[in-house]
Amino acid sequence: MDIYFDNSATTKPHNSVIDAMVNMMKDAYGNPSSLHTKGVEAERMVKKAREHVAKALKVNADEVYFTSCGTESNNIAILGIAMAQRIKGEVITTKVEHKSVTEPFKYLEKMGFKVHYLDVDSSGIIDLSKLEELLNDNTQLVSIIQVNNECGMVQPIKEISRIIKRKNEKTLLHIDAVQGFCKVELPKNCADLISISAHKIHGPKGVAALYVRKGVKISPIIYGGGQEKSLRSGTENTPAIVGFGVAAELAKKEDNYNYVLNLKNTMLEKIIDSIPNVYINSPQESSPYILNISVMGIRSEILLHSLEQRGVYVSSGSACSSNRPKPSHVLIAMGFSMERVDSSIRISFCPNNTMQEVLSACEILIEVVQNINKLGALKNNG
Amino acid sequence: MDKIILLKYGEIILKGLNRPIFEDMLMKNIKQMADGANIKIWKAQATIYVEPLDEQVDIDDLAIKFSRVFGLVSSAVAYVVEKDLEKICALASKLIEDSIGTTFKVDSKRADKRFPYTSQEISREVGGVILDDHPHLTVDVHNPEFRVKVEVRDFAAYVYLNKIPGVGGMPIGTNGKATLLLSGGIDSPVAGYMVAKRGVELNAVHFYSYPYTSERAKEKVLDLAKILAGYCGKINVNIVPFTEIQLAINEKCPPEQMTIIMRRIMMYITNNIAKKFGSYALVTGESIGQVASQTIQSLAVTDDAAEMPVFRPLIGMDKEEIIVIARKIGTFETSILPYEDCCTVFTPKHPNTKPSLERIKQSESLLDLETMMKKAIDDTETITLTRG
Repeated sequence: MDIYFDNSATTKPHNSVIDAMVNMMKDAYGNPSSLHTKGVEAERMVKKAREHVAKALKVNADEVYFTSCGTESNNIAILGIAMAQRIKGEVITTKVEHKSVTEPFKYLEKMGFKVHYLDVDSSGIIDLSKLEELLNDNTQLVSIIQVNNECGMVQPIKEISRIIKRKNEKTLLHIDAVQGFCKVELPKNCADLISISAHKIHGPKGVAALYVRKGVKISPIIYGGGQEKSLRSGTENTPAIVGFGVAAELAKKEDNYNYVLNLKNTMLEKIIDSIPNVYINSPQESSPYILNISVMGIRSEILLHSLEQRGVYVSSGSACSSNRPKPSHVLIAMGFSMERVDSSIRISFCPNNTMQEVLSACEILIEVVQNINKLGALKNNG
Repeated sequence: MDKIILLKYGEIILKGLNRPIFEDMLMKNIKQMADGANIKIWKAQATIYVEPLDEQVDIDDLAIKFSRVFGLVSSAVAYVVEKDLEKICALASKLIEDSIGTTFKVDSKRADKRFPYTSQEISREVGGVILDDHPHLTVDVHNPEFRVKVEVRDFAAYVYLNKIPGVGGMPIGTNGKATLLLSGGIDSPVAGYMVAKRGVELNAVHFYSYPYTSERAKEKVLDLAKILAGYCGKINVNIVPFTEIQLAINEKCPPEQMTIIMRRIMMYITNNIAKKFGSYALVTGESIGQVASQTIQSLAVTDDAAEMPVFRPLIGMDKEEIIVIARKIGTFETSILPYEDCCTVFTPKHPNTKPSLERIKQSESLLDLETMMKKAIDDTETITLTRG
């Protein structure tokens, strides 16, 4: 039986999401821009979906813009804000962001912006006093990841927001909430821009959203027919948007925090008890959905494929960066040794996972580690 | 206007009485490359003609495909015209309307000696008309920017501008079969290409170390084999599960001998598979000194395990030279994908570069080779890749 513990990479879509999407393709296939009934019908469905997503994010529907993926939301937020500035000032981000934030900031650097990258401590959290120090009258944008995709640490968004508004009320705050949306509480009215994605909450791939607070000046990075109030032109991906709406509605209905936390804690206890030489890379106060560990002496890929052989799916580092054999910049920023970084795996849960799955996975993990460790000589060669 | 593909072959022309054997095999390979397209194909005067028989045939696409058939030195889409000098001139002049450049040269060939003009006369006439019609052009016989080719043959005259250089070599199937050890790196596909180019039918063996290498590494090897199949027509790839054997070597043999013993066992197994496929030789992408297992001493010890001759077409080449070919044949981009060796766990830190055959054999005797190899061969999966 398959045990899917790679839910931070992507989640399995809900059946009701799939049904709603099939319906959109079979019947409500119109283009929301068309003037006739078919168009109006599709537009109405998109509107409903926007309301569901807005409700789950606790914002107004007219502040939600649909995009094609979390990466695009982050790019529009960062590049769009930068392009709307009259002068190239200072921007701040952290060293533990997703690549889709880090890379646009690198681009801003080339464009002439002054970019500051905040360090983190060994639990992956930024130093608030350092942030306060960096903020000044020229600071135009701060972008911070709420729940880190690799280790699950949660940044103190409320405090960050307060510090920023106190130092320079014109400074905009963008939150990458892709891993936190509908999972870890995001304080209300804390941010000017928020990125979220559908496929992390049992919705479809190919759709995401960006919240932009009313009044924030932002430029599009894609120009065209003026859809999404000209911030993101292009025919709406109506089936996916509707699927996103259904997923958001379902996710909002139930609070799974404690259920998932229980799964994670059980797994954590078993691992600490039975596997010698294991490091827990996720800090104590991290998202219940993500557990990152390093079994020293066993490289990530070996453990990953060995677990896969037994039907347990996990991830080495973050799936988005696993295609490149580059060590995780997040774990390096947290100050871990190369050996620890090289052997890190990410186990990520969802509410559909059961306690039984956790117990079986633990058994398998312990066995697999024992088997690999039996080949003691391996370590000496490598 | 009727179009036809003219294919020229190289080395085969030098063959004597057995030339028809090579020509027939070449025709067969060309037909196979056409993949069921409705065409008529015949040969005359050291040229192969391919005539499309319906509108569905994409003649330009076919010409490109044929340029990858081993044995051909060029492939060109030519326009067919009556054997009438005036008409030939008119056609040539019309064809160059869209060509890029300001200098040209006319190359003519009179294969039909009954035609009343010599090739020089044809060239002069055609060139004159072109100059009259296109005042912006001038003739440059030494370094023309484009060439206008005129061939007067048995049935008609042909005019064409661009000929696609062919890959050369000998037709596949005219020089027996060989088995390629295909790793997924840059070298082995190039080695396979070079041997196949000489008319050898290839099959391949890949050693798979799941879970120590990922499923994507296997996908990559199949992608590479597919690119090779684009030249060879068809390749059988045998995926041999190798993990258990590697683990056993790792457990029982000295670490510095790991690589060389692995290579030898690969040879034993490949030999066995090669026989099944009717091969008479093995092919590897090794070149002297590239890695520890490729010193002369190591190669000698590896060779000892292979019953068949082992051909290493890259043996004297530098990496840069190999990469040039890999780029040319289109395997480079796939080879450098980072999935191979996602785990280097089996590579010893200090491999033995001067192994002694005796000591290696001693270590090998610690392993239950027969049982392990039988199991690996029994569990081998054979995947057939074709072009397209």
